[in-house]
Amino acid sequence: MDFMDLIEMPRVDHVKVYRQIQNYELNQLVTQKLFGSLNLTSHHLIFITQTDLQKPREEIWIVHSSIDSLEKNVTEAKFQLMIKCKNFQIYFVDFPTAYCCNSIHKSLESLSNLTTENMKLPFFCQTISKINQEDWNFYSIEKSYKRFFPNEDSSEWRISEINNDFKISPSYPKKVIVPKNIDDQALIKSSQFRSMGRFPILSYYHKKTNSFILRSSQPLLGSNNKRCKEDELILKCALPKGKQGYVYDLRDASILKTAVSKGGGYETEVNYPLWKRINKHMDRFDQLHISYSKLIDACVNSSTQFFYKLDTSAWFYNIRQALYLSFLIADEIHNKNGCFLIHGWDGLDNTLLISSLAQILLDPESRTLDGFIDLIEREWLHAGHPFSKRYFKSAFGITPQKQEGPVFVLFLDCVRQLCEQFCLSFEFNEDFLIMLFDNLYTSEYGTFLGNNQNEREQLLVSSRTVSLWTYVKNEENIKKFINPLYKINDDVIWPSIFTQSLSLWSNLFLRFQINSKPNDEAKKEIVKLVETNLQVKIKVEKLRNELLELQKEAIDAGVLNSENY
Amino acid sequence: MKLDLEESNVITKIENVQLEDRSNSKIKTAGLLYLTISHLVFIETNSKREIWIYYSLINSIEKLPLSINGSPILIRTKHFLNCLFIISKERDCQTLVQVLNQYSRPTKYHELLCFRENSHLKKLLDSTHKNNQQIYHLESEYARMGLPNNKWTMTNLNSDYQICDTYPNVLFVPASVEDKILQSSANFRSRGRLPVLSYLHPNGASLTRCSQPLSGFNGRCDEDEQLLQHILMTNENSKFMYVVDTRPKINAMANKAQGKGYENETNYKNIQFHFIGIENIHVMRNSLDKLVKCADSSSNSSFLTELEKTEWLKHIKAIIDTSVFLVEAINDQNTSVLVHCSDGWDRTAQTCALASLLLDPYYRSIHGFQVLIEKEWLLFGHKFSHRCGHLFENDKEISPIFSQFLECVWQLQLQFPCAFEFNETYLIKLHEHVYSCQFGTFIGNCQKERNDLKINELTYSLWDYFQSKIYDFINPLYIPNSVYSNSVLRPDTRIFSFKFWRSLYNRFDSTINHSEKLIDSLSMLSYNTSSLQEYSKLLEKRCAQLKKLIQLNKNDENVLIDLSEDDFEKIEISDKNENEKKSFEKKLTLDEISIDFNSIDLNWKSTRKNCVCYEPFDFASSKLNCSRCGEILCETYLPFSTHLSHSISPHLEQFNFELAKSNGS
Repeated sequence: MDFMDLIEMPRVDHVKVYRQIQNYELNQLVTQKLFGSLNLTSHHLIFITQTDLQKPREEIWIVHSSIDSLEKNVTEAKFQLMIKCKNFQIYFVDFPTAYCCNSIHKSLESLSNLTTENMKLPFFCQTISKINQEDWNFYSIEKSYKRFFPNEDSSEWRISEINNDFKISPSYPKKVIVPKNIDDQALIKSSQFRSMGRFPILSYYHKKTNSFILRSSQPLLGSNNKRCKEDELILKCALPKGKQGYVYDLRDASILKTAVSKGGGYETEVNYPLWKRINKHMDRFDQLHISYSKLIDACVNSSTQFFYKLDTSAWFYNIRQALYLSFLIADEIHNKNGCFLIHGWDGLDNTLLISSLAQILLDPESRTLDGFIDLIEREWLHAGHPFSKRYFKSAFGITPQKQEGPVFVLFLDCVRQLCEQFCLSFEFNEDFLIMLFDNLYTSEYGTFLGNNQNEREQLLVSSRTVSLWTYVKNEENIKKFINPLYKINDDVIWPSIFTQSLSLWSNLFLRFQINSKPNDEAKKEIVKLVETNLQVKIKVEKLRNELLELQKEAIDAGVLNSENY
Repeated sequence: MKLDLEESNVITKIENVQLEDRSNSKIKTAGLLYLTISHLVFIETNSKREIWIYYSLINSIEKLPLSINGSPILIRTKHFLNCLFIISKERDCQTLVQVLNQYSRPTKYHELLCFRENSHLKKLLDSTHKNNQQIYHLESEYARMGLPNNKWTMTNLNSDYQICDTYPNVLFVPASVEDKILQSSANFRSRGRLPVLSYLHPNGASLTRCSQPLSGFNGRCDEDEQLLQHILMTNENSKFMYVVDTRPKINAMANKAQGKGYENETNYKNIQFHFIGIENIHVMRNSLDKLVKCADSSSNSSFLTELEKTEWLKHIKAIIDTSVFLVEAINDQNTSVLVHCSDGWDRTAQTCALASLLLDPYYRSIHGFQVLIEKEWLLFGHKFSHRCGHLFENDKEISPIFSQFLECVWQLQLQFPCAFEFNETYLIKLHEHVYSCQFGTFIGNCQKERNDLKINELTYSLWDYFQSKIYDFINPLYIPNSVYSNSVLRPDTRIFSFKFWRSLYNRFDSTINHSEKLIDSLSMLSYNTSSLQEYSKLLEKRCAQLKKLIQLNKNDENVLIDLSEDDFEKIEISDKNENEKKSFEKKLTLDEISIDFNSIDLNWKSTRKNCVCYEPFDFASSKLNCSRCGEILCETYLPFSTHLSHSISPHLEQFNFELAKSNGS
């Protein structure tokens, strides 16, 4: 298939575009009306305003994949297309005829719903010369292993390459960390007993207390109550003496029977005697998508009962629940003797959310920019979170397969809440999180392509596209993402999880509605305060040295004495 | 304010008391309750944590159903501290309730705290401001607006409060109007509160305020109509003016039946009449009650839905919406506005003050904000003592009208972080002291009453107290000349722009407030910067002195071996300045240099750390770094610190002293 087959009408003239923009002077939202022509290219919808003597030419570029939903409104007098974007921007386009409205609508429907990964933007828009292999290899399991276990010899854990060809578990990375005295054969057996072959692997090791987090998918008990000795052995071997194991099952206890009847199940306490199972409810990704749609609806159509609508969207419930569960895990790991195995259904969504949030609370490293990128690579990309499926549509749309679910958006929001509560303890800022959100749905970079490492390797992502981290690490860009007030905080952070302590992410969810200028001004002022402080510190250092030297000189010359003499 | 228990008069002591954590009823801390003549004090047995509650701040005392541990008593304060004490002996519980009821709301003004001896405030304020209470003269504020001029004049018609006892004794009215008209207009307005000038914008459009007319169904007053024409004519830029009734129309209609009401558009020429719809004091009081319960951490399940039900933010939005309407009329349409509600001392005060704040950047400075409060609230007779329940009087008069104004300002601070010279802590402390009765500033219901009570002579002023702690209140992000601090503010009033004021309503819930306060770290940063700047001046000075000394020594070797006292005196006569330096140089010693050198610690602790005294408890208590050792100290700890090495005084004063010393003066 070629892009050109999808484009019937590459250009339409006499088009009107309406969008809401902020009038900074009046601090009000006004509807801007533009006249011009619409051009359709393989990846972009480009609107160019008519050249006018008074106004300079303006261009609006909309990437096809950034379109979330299209609504056609064709009456006798009006031929209008409403374009809702994944970043919550909304455009209205008036066409001169019904024919071109229909034609463009048809083309955009196909172009914005392309499922073939190979046709996506990252393969086309960046030059090969920018590809930096180092950024693609930013994460390595060896590095993580070294960090968790500085002394390899005394470690009870090892790196297994059992999944090197992605056969055992297609959604796992090639290498995983497992208990040292479990051999690869046992891993194979265990993988056959776990949904999608996702056997228990190490996710995080807390050096300060020697406690850890494992994650996996649900065991496949089925209605005939199967068991797997090797799987039981993994959990038994992993747990050191004196530690209490907890299986954190992120599903409501009431749903377990259904899971069993569908061939899934849970760790029975008879077969896993050292481990205590705890069921904690988290909304599944499809429910979360509904929550997200309601949230954005409340934000876009806010009028009456705004707070009530926010509440019923359950978005804050989900944030609270996620933070609360990671809080409990961090508390057990850091203050008590708990070790954890986390899973839900397939261990692709909430499992990763809770495990990565717990790490942010526990591990100061993950609150640095590099550490956070490492966390995303390790706990989301390499862990097989299906990015391509989950973020195909945003809050306004959904595909018939209903695989959408903004788990990573929830993760970003949780991290932002933490950044707000601990404004000194994170090296990166809110803008970094918003940048990640933007690249999640549509991106020029290949990082979030595909659903797991296996797919990314098949697509040759690392040799055909540029990594998002290459963009981040660029000297000009990185400055935008650093929190000027950051000071390393070696402690575990304990967030507040009351709804009062949380806030709506207005810089993201209300981004096209609020005036960001006063806040930008404040941000600049903060940078200035920090810089002035640094300057004066340097000056004081210098003066101190100078004074010491002069003092010495004066003593040598005999002109300065201590009063004691 | 923490005091020494030994210095306070303890009436009685209650043992075996447990304080229940509001966010987790399982957590209880054991301690002792002391009842002094002014405070309820809880002291934890195991830690040094103390809770001091002024009786005047107590809002409600609620006996809850008996539990196995004893009698639970829930005390809610006006500054939103909720304490649930469980008292083991029923008899003690009765004593407590009895003492609290007796002391928390006196019946006479002179029983209020501010009229009592206060050694702490005496120490703090008498040294710096010897009875130097700042008194705001209305004239000087109007002079700032360029008044009197040919359009507006000052009248002494009310010099003895004879036409309106709740107005100030000085009023500004159109220059063209005769006293007779003013007198008749006053007679036609509820409680004599005739239309007078509140604020004059540079474009000539004015903001005037009054109470409702006594029009009933078809009463009219020729002079009142004339007065409005005179007001209209002061502004050449507009052919009409607005009259804004801030009440909901139905309330205004109901008033008609009582012989009050609103202006009939057909009687008044060239006016446009508007109802806006801010609810009355009773609705606001009920809304706050709901909000307090909603904020209470013990009932938190569906906070946002509960918040919606309180309608609190809807009311806040209505006040800001109205103020924005006034701003647009005055600034954008060059049109004057007359504002009233019923008596013109609640909703009118809220909206006139807020509109002025939006229009004029001056009111966003610390001094300007105080002037605004003095003018629109204190002088124009907002009934603080009635609204705040300072005395045991009619509870139906209590309403959080002024608190709502403070919250509106806070909402604006959120939207415009660089536009205000004062910070959130300032508003929270102001809110507290409007109720605390420690200062005379907000006691009484109008200027006349405060004069009669001799407030200025007998009590301390809150403004003086604030001045003494000014460093806690400065917004480090304030940019005096930016777009947002230098012009008319245009807030976004869509509902999502309004936030729940957590740090006020959950001020004392350390589990709810954020662990790392942005405002603290920024204040500390600028405090650190200015300390270091002063320090570097000191270092520069010392360097220069040493250089001079060394230089002098080199030169002297050839001429004079020893400088005797006589030689100095000779120089003194010839050059006074030179002498000052030399006499100092002689005194300069190694020890002195080393003291100066170590007077500051370069590695200040992050404000993330808690005070050396105890866990954080109050959101509004600022954290400061000791400049000598870099430790974190909280505000409550400072004045009572036995840690003498901590230098806690506002840094600049200290270094100025050092510099003064080194100048030999």
